[in-house]
Amino acid sequence: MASVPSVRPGATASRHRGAVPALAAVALALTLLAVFLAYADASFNGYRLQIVTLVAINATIAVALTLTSGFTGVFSLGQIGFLAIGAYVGALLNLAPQWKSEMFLPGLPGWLAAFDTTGWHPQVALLFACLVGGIVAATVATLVGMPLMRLSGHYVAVATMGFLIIVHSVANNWSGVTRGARGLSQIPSYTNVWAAYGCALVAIYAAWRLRVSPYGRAMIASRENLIAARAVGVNVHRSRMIAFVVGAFLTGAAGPLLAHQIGSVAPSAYYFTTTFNVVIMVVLGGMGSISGAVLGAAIMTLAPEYLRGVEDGMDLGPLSFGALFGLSQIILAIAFILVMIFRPQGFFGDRELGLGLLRRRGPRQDGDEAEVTPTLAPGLDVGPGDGASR
Amino acid sequence: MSASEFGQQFVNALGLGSIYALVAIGLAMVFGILRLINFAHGEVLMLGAFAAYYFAAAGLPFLVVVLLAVLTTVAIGLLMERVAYRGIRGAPDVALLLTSLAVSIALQNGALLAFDAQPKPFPTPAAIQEQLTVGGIQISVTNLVTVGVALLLMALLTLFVTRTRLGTAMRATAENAMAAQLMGINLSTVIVAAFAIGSALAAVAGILWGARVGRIEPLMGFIPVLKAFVATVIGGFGSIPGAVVGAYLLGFGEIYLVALLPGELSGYRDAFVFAALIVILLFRPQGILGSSEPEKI
Amino acid sequence: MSKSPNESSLVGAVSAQVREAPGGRLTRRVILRRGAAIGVSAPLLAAAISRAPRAAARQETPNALSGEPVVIGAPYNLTGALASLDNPARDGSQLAVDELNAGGGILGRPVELRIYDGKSDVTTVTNIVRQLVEEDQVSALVGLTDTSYVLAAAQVAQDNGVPYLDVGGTAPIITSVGDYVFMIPFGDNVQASVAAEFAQEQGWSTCALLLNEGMDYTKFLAQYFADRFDDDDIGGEIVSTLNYGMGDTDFSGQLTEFKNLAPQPDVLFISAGPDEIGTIVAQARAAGLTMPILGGDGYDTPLLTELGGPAANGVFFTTHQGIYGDDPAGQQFTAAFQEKTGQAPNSVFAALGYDGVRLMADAINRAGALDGDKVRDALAATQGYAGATGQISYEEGSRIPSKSVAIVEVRDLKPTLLKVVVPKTVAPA
Repeated sequence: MASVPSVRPGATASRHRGAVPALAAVALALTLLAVFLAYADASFNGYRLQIVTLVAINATIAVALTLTSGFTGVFSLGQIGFLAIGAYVGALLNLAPQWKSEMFLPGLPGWLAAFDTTGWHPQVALLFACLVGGIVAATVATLVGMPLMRLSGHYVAVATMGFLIIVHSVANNWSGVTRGARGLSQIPSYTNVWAAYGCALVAIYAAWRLRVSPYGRAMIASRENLIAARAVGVNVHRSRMIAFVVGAFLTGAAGPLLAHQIGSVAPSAYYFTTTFNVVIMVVLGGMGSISGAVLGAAIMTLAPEYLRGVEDGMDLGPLSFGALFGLSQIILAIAFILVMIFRPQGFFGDRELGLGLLRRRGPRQDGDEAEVTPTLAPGLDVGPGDGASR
Repeated sequence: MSASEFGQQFVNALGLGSIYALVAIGLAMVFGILRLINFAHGEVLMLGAFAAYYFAAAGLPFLVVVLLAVLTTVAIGLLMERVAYRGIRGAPDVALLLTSLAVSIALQNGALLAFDAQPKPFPTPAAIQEQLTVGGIQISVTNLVTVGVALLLMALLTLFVTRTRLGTAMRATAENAMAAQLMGINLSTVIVAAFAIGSALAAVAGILWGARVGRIEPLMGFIPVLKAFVATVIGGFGSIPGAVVGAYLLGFGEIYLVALLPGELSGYRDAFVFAALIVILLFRPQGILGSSEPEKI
Repeated sequence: MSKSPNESSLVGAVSAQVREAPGGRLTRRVILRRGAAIGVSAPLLAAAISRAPRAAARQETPNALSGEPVVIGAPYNLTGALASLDNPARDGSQLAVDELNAGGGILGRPVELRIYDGKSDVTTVTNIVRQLVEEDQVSALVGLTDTSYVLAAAQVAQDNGVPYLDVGGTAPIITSVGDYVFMIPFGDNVQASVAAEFAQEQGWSTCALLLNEGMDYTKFLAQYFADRFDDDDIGGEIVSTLNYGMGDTDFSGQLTEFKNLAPQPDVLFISAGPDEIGTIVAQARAAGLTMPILGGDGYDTPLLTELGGPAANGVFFTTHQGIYGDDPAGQQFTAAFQEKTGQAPNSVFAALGYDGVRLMADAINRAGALDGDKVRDALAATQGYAGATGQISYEEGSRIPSKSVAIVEVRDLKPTLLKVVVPKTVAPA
């Protein structure tokens, strides 16, 4: 995030009023998190630890998507493509060379086939993979984003979905490097809760810094009113590009974490199911809310684990084939529809759990919340007419 | 590619494009009025096919089966609109899209529980399983029936939207919903009509799809709806003629890509289709038949 | 009726969110309290996660069996893309458990099969296997039918020292995960070699190859077949290779291409999953392809004849012996399945799932204890176990059974056993 030359938020006298309690609250929250993680790390079994870890990895991805889509209003369905890129990069870097040759990957360049991190400290290898995964994803995002970020609305959703399908198709067919649908396995389990939560915190911090920076305000402005934002000189394309590329970097960095947690990478794990899951996390929490994304990630990671008990709870007939597998998906889907009907803005809408902190530090936030509220009813009475009116 | 091969693939592509078109019309119609990309449309198709399967199992004649399946599917489509979509009318685009995904997931898993996961053989009447040989070209009757039925339904639909009051009201609403309402058009009636027509077409598409591939299963709806979605984008969001053109273009693109690509690249078919889609979006984002230029920055 | 979405609608959309956002500024006190609540709730959360579902332990327990049930974990993809393979396998496993409970149980104790749904998603599969192993503390694992998922599950089993029997994944690479991982089916290289040698016997020297590029199984099978078919002692030639994707249902493009090959190949080798082979066969015959069709054990499902109809006649495939012919173990399984469910086994995966549980129970009984390492050693020492899918023996150091392969031809819509063979040369795994 060092690349964002942001003015320190609220670099005025007013910042000092709330800064100390705010910092104290953050410090307290971090301490409690650290205590919990230490407790979990020491006493949880692998299953519970994996769930706790997955919450952080999903939170990272959800926050990255909030940054890409929530802040800018550019709805991306291609996020998981970047996750896949990161995961494959991480796997190919950190797989033992002898295993790489055993799996027969003739398409691999010689240096990568021989690349050996087995002697490294696992956490160093993991960090390295995350960085490289993030950089590769960000590079791809720059190339893809250049044209795509000029599109808007549904068009960008469709185009990014096309990107996801292309990534999937390449992963599925480029057998010499990815082993196609068979995927790569035997990826060493380097991921632990500290790495996962560290990455999530970096993502949250990066998203928050971006949100309160001039670029972040440009993103929000262009989302709220494109014409007005342009009129006051916002470079909409550039602010979207930043959101897209930074989001891709964070997602790409989460890829190796996931690969090193699950132990294998296969194209089927990085496709529509995962995409919808992450999008639902973000929408559930509230598009544009970082804390909402974290909450959404936690719910969508934990809920299926709870619901598993519901599915096999019923024995019908002599063979007890009557267990209702698939019930958990139905319950989650119906719950989501109810949320959309009764609380379409998600849990937090645009707000943050600690919004007061932001308010005090950056008075302009108030403007975002209160002033840019045109009273147009959305959707129905707006879109259809413009074809004729233009 | 030899001439006979070309001809054979041509008929093939026409059949595939016709099914995509029937699905795409329903998507485009609902999108035009509600701005909703209804992913659950694929599950409507699936339920239409299963309805036909069970009615056929009851021993009814095939035309009755089709009629009953269409009626059942229309009822399901209307129920879906009432239960899931009416409550979120006018919600943000993303919320609409995701709600339809949730509906789709719920229906898929419900069908999985109700019908189990094993694919079922579709009871295609023997009369349309024949093969004809015309001038060295093999043509399956299923393909001909598919194309014929699709063209007939599209002609009827054209008559409906241009010659009836309700059809005109639908077009007006798609053009400008608020103005249409001010002119006294009942929005709910229009929406219900759109779902009813879309569901009926999806049921027919489901039956034709079942006849084409020979089997049905709870997850069968996703691929056709994804392709139909692409077709509506190629044709221009919300444009019904555009969706039809897009559907046939896609049908031809897919069939000829497989035929022309060397074997080792044919797996990349979807990548090529979607790369082409992105290119279309970049250079002609309003689609082939779209008239207005959407906002581009 | 054309129209286009634009930014103004987005403005509307977002403004709705802003407008409807819950009101009320948060005071600092509230924030602190909420922050504290998160911290406090963390251990609660942890406690909640640990709530292990204990539901399915309601099997009837004959008097002879006593003590805590022996719990066998059964991860299966019961929903999603793999549902049609894993559901029959699950049914077979459940049948085996019911039989065990009606008989001697395991170590004189009742048996419980704990089934979780992996949803055809690799992450979920690792979650449920971890839950089974670490939360529910199962004694052994039996399950899954596709290599991608088996690999993920096997890693968790290996790491925790829990013996795992792979039910349907046939890629030989599976057992390289470690010494706790054993396979019930033969490796794809074995059945592919049998198929290639059979093709030579029949005098089929040119072959067109169609494969599903979306499954481990179909890719491996096609690759092993092509390698062996090309070998000098067979001297066959693959004249065309085409593929299709997972979930495809329309194969007319590929099949028309085959139809236009001149001269026509002697045989089609179609490396397909159980879901689509019936459809492919029907479409191939409809497209005018009349040559014999050859394939692997993915064909071994009633869907082949149900969906293929008369077109399925003249299809040859290699599969697990047992259900066919007069193998007593296979016949016994078929009868038991029929009695229990009222229908014949609908897939060879039912028999594989059945063998998985039976062999695991046998190994535990031989080990005389539930300790993972003892059961592993007992599994490794398995010799001549009469399974419903054929005799299972693990050679020294190998955890892939050296099974013989059945060759089956569909005649009058009935799969008919031609012969049971061992390949002359096996393509290296």
